[in-house]
Amino acid sequence: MALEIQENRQVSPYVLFFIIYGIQTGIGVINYQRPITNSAGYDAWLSILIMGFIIFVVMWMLTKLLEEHQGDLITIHHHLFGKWIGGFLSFLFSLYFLTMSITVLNTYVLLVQVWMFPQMSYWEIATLLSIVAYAYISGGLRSIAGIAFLSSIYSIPLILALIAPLNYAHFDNLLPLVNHSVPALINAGKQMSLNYEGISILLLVYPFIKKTESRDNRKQWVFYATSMTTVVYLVVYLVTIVYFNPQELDQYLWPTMSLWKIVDLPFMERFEYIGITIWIFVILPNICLTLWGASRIIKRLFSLNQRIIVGCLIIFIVLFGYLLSNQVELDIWNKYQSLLGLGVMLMYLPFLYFYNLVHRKMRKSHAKQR
Amino acid sequence: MQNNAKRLLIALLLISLCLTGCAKPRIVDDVHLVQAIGYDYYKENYLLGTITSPVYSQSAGSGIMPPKSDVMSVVVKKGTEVNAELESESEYQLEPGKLLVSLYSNEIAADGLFQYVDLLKRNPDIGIVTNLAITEGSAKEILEGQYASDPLISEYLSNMFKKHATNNFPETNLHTFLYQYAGKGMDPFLPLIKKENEHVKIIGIALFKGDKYIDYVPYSQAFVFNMLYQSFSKGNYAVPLNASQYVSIENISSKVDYQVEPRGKDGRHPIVKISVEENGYVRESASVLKGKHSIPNLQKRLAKELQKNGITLIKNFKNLRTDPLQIGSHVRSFQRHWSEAAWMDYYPHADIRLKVKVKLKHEGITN
Amino acid sequence: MKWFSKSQQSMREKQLENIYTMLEGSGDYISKKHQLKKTAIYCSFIRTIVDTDMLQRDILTPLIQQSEGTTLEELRTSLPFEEVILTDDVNTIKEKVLQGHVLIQLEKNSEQGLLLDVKAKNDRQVSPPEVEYNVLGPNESFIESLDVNIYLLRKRLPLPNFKIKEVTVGKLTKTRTAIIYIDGLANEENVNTVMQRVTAIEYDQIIDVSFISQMIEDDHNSAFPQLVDTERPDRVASSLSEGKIAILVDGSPFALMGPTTIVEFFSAFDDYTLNWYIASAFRLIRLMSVAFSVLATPLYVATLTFHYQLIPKNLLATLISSRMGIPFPPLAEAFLMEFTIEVLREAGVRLPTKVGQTIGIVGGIVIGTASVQANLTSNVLLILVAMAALASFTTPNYRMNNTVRLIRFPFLLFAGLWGMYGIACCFAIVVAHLLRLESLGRPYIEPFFPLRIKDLKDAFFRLPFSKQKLRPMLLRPQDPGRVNTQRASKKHDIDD
Repeated sequence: MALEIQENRQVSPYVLFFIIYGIQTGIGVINYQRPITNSAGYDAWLSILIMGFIIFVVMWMLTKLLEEHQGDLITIHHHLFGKWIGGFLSFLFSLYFLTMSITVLNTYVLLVQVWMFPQMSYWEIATLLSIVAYAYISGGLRSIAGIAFLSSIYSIPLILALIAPLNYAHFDNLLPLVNHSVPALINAGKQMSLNYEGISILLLVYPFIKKTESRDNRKQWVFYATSMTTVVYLVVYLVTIVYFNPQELDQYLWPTMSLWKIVDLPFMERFEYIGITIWIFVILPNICLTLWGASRIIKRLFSLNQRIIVGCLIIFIVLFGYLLSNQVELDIWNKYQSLLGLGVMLMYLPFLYFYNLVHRKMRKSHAKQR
Repeated sequence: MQNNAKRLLIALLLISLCLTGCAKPRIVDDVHLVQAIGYDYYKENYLLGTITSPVYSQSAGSGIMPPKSDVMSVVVKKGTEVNAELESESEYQLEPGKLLVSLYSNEIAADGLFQYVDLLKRNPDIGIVTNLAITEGSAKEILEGQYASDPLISEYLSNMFKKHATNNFPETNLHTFLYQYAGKGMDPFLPLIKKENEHVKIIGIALFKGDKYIDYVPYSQAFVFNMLYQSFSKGNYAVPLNASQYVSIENISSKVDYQVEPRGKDGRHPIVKISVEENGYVRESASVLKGKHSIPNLQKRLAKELQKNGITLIKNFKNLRTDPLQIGSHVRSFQRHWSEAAWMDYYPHADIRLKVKVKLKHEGITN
Repeated sequence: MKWFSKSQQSMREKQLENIYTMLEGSGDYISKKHQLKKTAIYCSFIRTIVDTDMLQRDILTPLIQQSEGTTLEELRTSLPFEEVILTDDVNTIKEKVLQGHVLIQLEKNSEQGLLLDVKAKNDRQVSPPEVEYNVLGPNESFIESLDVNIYLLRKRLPLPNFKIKEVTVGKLTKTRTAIIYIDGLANEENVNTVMQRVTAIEYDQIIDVSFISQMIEDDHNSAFPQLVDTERPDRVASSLSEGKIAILVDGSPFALMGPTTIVEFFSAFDDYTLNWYIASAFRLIRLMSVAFSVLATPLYVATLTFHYQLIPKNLLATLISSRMGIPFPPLAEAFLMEFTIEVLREAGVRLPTKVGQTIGIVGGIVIGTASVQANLTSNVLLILVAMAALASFTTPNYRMNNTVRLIRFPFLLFAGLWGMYGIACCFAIVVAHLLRLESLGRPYIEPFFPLRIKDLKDAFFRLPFSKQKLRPMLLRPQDPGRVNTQRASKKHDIDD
C-alpha cells in the first residue's frame, strides 16, 4: 500500500535539504536568543548543540518510520492505529500545522507593524502576505520547494550582515565557559522548540522526493539540513552574545533585528529595514509548507480539491490571526504553541517510533501464531 | 472557469487593498528631520528641550545651496516628550529617524540619563549609532551656535565624533552606552563637549556611575584611557622631554591584554594584570633625537610616562567607584560565580597592575 | 454504383468550373493558348507571383520549338525541371497555382494538368542582423524565405541527421512551418511536444513566427517570453547542436527556439565570441542592469515615501533639495517620468529612423531639463529613470527587453503603496510566477531551480569551452557529451 506520487510532481533529493532548512529557520531566528539566555545564560550555545542533537535523533526516527511504511503521515497513522483513530490523529496534525502558520503569519505581521509601518492595519499586511503565499502553494510542492531554495539564497546577505556587529564584539562575554548546570542547559534547549517544530513536515514531504533505483540518498539531506540549521542558530547566537551582554539582551524583543541596526552600508543606512524586507522570503517557506501540509492532510483524508482547501485555510488563518494581532495575545499564543511543539516533537514523534516497534513485533508474533 | 474566478478574486482583493490601504507616507521632504536634540534644566522639574533640523533650499539646476539649521526649543515638564510639544510650532511632522546627536547638559546627566536614553532605545526609527554627548554648560547654547566649518551643528558634531572614534578616542554611541549601562562590571562613558567661540571642543571623557555623570577624564589623557580600554591603531601622544620641549608620538598600533588571576595571593581576591604594547613613530620633535633623547631612551621614557598616567587614571576610577575600563567584566570572564556586589566592594582596593611596553619604529625622515 | 460515380463525376466538374471561374475573377490570372508542333496547350498562371522570364525561357520556348509530344506525359519528360507534377486533383491544382506554379493543360479548364514551379524569387538579400547586432562573429541574418533560411542553417550543420518537419498552419495563409532539430541529439519528448502544439494550432492567419510563439507557449498569460526568437542563423545552429528545437516560418525572418531558460534571454552572441571572463563580466553587468532597471525607481519611491531612515546622511541634502518644491508625491513623480520615457521610446520606434533619433534627443534633453526647471520632477529621479531606461536596453532580446521595462510598473505601484514590504511582496509574486513557468514543459529558471550545477557554467558566468563538455541538462539531450574523448590535461611545471 505504498503511496505513489506522479513522477513529474516529485522533486530531487537535494531539495529536501532546503525544505527542512527552510522550515527550521523561520520566525524563530529573530527572537530565540532571549528565552534560552534567560535559562542558561551565555552557555546557551551548548543548549543549541544539545537541541540540534535531539532533533537529529527525532529526524532519524522519522526517516525510519517513513521508510518502513513507504508513505506519509497518513499511511503511518493508518497502519498503526487503523482508519478512524489514525485518521483523527492525522486531522489533529493538520490543525497543528495550521496553528504553526498562524504563528508565523502573525509574528511577521507584528514585526512589520512595529518596525516599519505602525499605522498599517493587520488586514493589509496579512492579506498581501497570504496572496503571496497562495501564489506559491497553488504551484504545488515544486514551487514551495523553489521558494525554500531561493529563500536560503536570499538570506545569505542577512547572514553576511552579521559580520558588522563583530566590530563591537566582546569575546570575553563567552567566558567563563560552562557556568551552568546541565538541567539549565536542557531547559534552555526546550525554549527553542518554536524554532524546530516544523520538522514534522518531513512526514508529508518525504514521498515527494525522488529516489533512484540504485540508491536512496534522501536521508542524508535531512541530516545535512539539520546540521546546517544548528550551525546557523549557533552562529547567530554567538554573534548575538558577543554583541550584547546578558542584561542588555534581556531588554530586546527581537535581538536579531537589533543586531542589524549596527550595519551601516555606504549607500544605505539602517540595515534592519532591509532585513525585515528580506525576511519575508525566510518566512514564506514556513507559511507555505505548513499550509500545504495542513491542506495535504485534509486532501488525503477527505479526497477534497486541495486548491479549495488551501483557499479556505488561508482565509481562515487571516481571520483567526486578527484575534492575535497584538503583542500580548501573540506572546500567550506563542507560549502555548511552543509547548505544543515540544509535546509533538519530543513526546509524540518518539512515541510513534516506539509504538511502531512494538506494533511490528506484535504483528510478527501474530503471524507466527497463525 | 474556476481559474478565472480565482484570478478575479485576487485582482479584486488587490484593488480593494490599493484603495483602502497605504501606510501613512513620510515623504522625506515633507517631514522635519530632527537631527540633534539637547536637554537642559530650565528650573526644578522643568526641562528645556532643544531640537535642530536642517532646512534645505531648492536646488533646481543651480547646485546645492548650503542648508540652514532650524532650532526650536520648548520648556516641558520632566518626563514629557519634547517632540510632541514642538509639533505645535513646526511646519511639518517632526521625525527623529535621522537623529545624529543627542546632547545632555552636565546637570541633567548628573541626575541620571536613563530615562532620556530609554526614549531613544525604544523607538525603532532611531539608529543605534546615534551619538550621545554631555555638554559642559548649556546644550541649547551649543545647538543654537553658528559654526564656521559646518552650517549644521548636527553634522558637525557627528563628523567630529566619528573622526575621534578612529583617533585617540574610544568609540561612543547609543549602542556602547546601552551596553555599558546594562552590563555588569562596567560603567558607561561619553564625550564631554563645550562651546568655544566658533567651534565645539571635546574637553574630555565624561565618566558615569550607573547612568549618573560624576566626573571626567581630561582630553589630554584620552590617549591613555583609550590605550587601557581597547586595542586601537591610530592616535597621538606628546611626551615632555623637559620643561619646554616635547616629542609627539604617532601611534601605529596599541594592544591591551587583560590577565586575571582569579584567586590572588590571599586565595580570595583576584589580581588584574594589564599589559599594553605600544607601537609608534616620532612625528614631531622639538629637539634632535640623539644621546639622552635617542630612540631607546625615548621608548623607556614614554613607557614610564604612560604607565604612570595609566595607574593614576585607574586609581581615580577606583576612588570614584566607577569602572569605565570594564575591569569588573574582565574579572568576571576569569572567575566562576562572580558577583557584581562582591566585586564592587573589592574594587576600590583591587590589585590592578599595569605594564606598558613601547616600541618606536622610526623617527621620520630626519633625525 | 454507376449512379454514384456519375454524380461524383458531375460534382468534380462543378468544382473544377468553380475554381477556374474563381481564378479568372482575379485580374492577374492569365490563361493562354500556345500552339506546339503537334498539339496545342493551355498555359495558366497568376502573373504576379510567377517569374515570367523563366516561364518563357525554360518552359514555353523549349515546348514550342522542340516538343514533339502530344500527351501531357510526353510533354512532362521533355521539360528540364526536376519536379513536374502531373495531377488530376482539383485541390492540388488550386493550391499550387496559387503558390506560383504554372498549369499546362491540353484542354482549357480540364481536370488534368502539369504543374511546374516557376515561383518568382523576389526575396531580399541576406543582410547583417539588425535587432541582434553584435561586434564580432558572423554577420548574416535570416530573411523572409523559408528555403533560404534553411539553406543558411544547413550550410552550418552539414549533417545527415539534420531533420526538418514541415507543417502547414493557418487556415487562410497556409503558412509553411518547419520544425528543425538534430535527430539523435534533441530529446524526442521535446520534438513531440513541439509537433503536437504546432499541428494543433487553429487560426486563420500565421503572418509571423511570433504568432506561433504566442500560440504554443506554455503560459499565454505570462509577461515573460518562453521561447527565444532570433534572427541569427549562427545562434540557431549553435542551439540546434545543443539539442534545442527551432521553428521557422515562411515569410518571417526570425526563428523560434526552445526549450529555453530565462538566462538565455540575457545572453548575447558576443558572449561566445569574446574571451570567457570578459564575456562573463559583461553578462554580469547585463544581469545587474536588469536588476537596476526594475528596482531603481521603486526603491527610490519606497525610500523617499516611507523609509527616509535608509537614506545615508550625506545623501539627504542632495535628495531633499532636489525634491524641494515638487508638488507631487514620489510615486506620482516617478510614474510621470517613467511614462514620459516610455512615450519617448514608443515614439522613437514608430517614427522613421532619422526623425526618431531627433525626437529621442530633443525629447530627452528638452523635456528632461524643462521638467526639472519647472519643478515637476527632481533631477535625482531624472537620472535614475534615464539610467533605468538605458539599463533596460542592455537586454539583448527585444521581447525580454519589453518585459523588463513593463514589469517595473507594478513594482512602482507596490512601492508607492507599501514601501519596501510592497516591493518584497511584488518580487515574491514574480518569483512564484517564474517558478511555475515552463518552456515546452521544461522549468524556466532552470539552472537556479531546479539547481543544476552543471548548467550553471553558462548562466551567471560563461565558463571556457573546455569546461563545457556537456550539453545543457535542461534539454535532456539524447547524446549529452559535446566531446567524445577526454583529452588528458597536461600540467606543466616551470621551465618544462
